[in-house]
Amino acid sequence: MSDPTACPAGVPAEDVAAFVLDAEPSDVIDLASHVPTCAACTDVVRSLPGAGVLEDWAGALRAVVAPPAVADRALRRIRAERRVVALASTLAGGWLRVARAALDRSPPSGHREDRDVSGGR
Amino acid sequence: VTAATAGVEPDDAELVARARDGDVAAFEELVRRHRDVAYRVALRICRRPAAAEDVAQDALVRAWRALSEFRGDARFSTWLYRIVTNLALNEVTRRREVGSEPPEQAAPAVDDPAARTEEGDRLGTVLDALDALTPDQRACLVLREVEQLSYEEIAEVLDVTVPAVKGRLFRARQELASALADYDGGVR
Repeated sequence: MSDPTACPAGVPAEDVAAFVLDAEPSDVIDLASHVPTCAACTDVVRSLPGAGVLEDWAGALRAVVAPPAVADRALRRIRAERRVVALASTLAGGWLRVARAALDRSPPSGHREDRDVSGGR
Repeated sequence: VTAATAGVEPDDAELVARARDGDVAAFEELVRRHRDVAYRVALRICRRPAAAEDVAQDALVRAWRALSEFRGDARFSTWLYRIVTNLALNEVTRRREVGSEPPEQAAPAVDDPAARTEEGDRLGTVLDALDALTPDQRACLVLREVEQLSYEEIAEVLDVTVPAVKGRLFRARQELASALADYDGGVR
């Protein structure tokens, strides 16, 4: 069953609201010329809160300042993370040097300890 | 020539580029610029000051960690909105499951005591009406009416389509208008 209050052109009420309150265009129809000629869309416009009403309360909700702890704690965590990363990098570098030194000291593959390398008697 | 060498304030894009190269001072400047927005969005979605502090702080740290993944085809602020909004919505979901602190109290910025009482009542009504919305509707309304983002930006932040944003905003505004009409009818 069709909705008797619906726009005959199929424009959803939320499209009309977005157009009237936020100048948001519709993808399917030119609302500037359609809305004044459509009883259903005109009814939607009448039911909308005025932009001024919305602006009144939005202004009050906008007046918020972050407590200093927000930035302080975030930056402290970031600095701590950087220290941990730097430390991990240093440790990794250290282990890499130790591992390389150990490899340099170890005999090559297939080396026999008991082979006489003195050149003979 | 960078903004710093030209003697002007660097924009967010330049600070992001410097921060990605490891310049912590550049990221600290981004934090200073965007901390109020991060906290405000978190507070308006979570409605709990302590939770909003945690969400805003977490969002800033996550932004730092994920800076290398920031593509730069969106504005830094839009990207941060996305992180904050998602964390705030997660927090609301978590709170529903475990329960937590009471919501913020209305505290209007007006000196006159009589006007303060009336404005406080009205703001309280608005906050209650916001609380009655679904978290997704509330996030949409906050991003549009308080933060004044475009529909495309809201769709990007919430990872939904523009028609979905239109629908959520429409229903949220209807609820809010109804609550405010009840308030105005009751006190006048």
